[in-house]
Amino acid sequence: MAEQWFEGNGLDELAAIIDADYAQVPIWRSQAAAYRKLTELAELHHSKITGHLQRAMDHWSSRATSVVRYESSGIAESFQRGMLTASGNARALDAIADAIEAAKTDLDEIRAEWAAMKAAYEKDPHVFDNYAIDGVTGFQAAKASYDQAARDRMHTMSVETTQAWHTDMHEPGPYTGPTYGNVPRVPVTPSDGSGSGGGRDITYPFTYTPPPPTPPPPAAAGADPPLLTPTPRPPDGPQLEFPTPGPGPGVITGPGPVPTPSPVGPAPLSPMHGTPPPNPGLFGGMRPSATPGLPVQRPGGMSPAPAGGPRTSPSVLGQRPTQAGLTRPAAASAANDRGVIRNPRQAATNNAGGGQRGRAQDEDRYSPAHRDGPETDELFEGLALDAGPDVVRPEPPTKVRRRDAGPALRRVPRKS
Amino acid sequence: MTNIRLDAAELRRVAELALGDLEFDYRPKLLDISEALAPNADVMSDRHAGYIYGPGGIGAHHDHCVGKMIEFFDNLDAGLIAVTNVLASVSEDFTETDVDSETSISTIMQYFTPPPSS
Repeated sequence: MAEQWFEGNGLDELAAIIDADYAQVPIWRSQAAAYRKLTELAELHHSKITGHLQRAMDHWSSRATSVVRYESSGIAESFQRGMLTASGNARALDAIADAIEAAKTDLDEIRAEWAAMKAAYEKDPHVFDNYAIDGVTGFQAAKASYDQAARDRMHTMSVETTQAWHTDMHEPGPYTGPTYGNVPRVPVTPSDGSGSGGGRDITYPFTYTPPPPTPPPPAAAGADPPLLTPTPRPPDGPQLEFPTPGPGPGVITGPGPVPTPSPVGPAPLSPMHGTPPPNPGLFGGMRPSATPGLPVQRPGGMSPAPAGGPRTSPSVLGQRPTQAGLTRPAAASAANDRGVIRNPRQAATNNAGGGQRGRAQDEDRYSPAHRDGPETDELFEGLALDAGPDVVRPEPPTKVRRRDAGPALRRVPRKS
Repeated sequence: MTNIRLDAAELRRVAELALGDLEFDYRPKLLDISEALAPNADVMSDRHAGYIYGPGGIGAHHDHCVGKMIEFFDNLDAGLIAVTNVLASVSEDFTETDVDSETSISTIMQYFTPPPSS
């Protein structure tokens, strides 16, 4: 229809049309910006009202809340549709404005070119002598060709604007949320979100009064306020402490003072990070750092195990102990002598109960408390046999022939 | 979910906060947007000279869409007030003790139903 309307217009008429459309482009741009603001506003308020309703549902547990949820879903769905419609209309108006601006530019060029041709024709009436189109020649043929070019450009513009209209410009559709709510006896006073509510609290004997805000410390002149206030640190710096190790698995404690962190290692965290918060639920509480046990660990990395200090099992530190760091089996007490290779006879004499010793130690060795890493036998394999005098070797078999027994052995019983 | 059945004070506080957001933030911005969407009277006078507001029919369709959009968001405004009023009414009508026995789905549905006009 629109294209047919273009047929009866020449370049000048079409230029006037596009000028009229172009004059409204700023308004369409402004309306597109308004649609975008509406989209953002709807999205923001939809988020806010969703949060408010969730808070209300957190304080009202009843089957009847399903009605409020249903009505709220209608509001949410309408918000969603309003956002989509507004953003679509913004796109459509922008596309229409772009098409009008482009058509205006092209028609201006066509018009300027035709004006130049007319000026040339006024100087030389034979300029268009070789032109012929649709049965006309000369000046009329040239004018008809420029009119047709203007119509073609307007047709392209109409296609673009119509496509934008049908693609993105829509009505929002019907609103599907509630339209009426029972008016409360006491009118609701809007709250500005300061925390104390909007008006007089008539339903509860207590009214929450927020504490006065603590003013921030005055910043130095010219200094930007810090984005993240650092947590105050203890004087000794940040230390991640572990609870006191009980008779748990895989921990071999030894005498010696608590080692101090080696100066070689990861640098301490910057004050911006502060002290890591304790997690009493995970470790069951904190302990003073002077308590013997696991080496003190610094945040940012594990402390290296110092020589002579307490060490942990390989399953904890991930490395096998060196030979120099091993505790010799003889230094262990009788209650801690598991795994020491002993002479079976000495073991039988050192332990009351004889055969019960092996059973008790087997239970000790295979108890779950010692299942976190290699058995101590494996750690000391090849070391304890040549280590020291406390290691009792099995005696060689006694096959020494007694000379004084010779005659007796050689005594042959007399046959009777 | 804790064992809270109905915290009337909290329910009313939520209604106040929602109404505050509506009146102090949503409505003023929506009013500005509505004014920006409304066609300019000066343009209305000579818009038929152009294609969009002339034979194209796009302008008339857009004006219709703008009217529907403003009406739509007005309805949304009414719906937000409706939910706010219902929350406040429930906080007035029920307490923690009788919320189980007296609030039913049909009861709350009546809160969203306008009274018959006399």
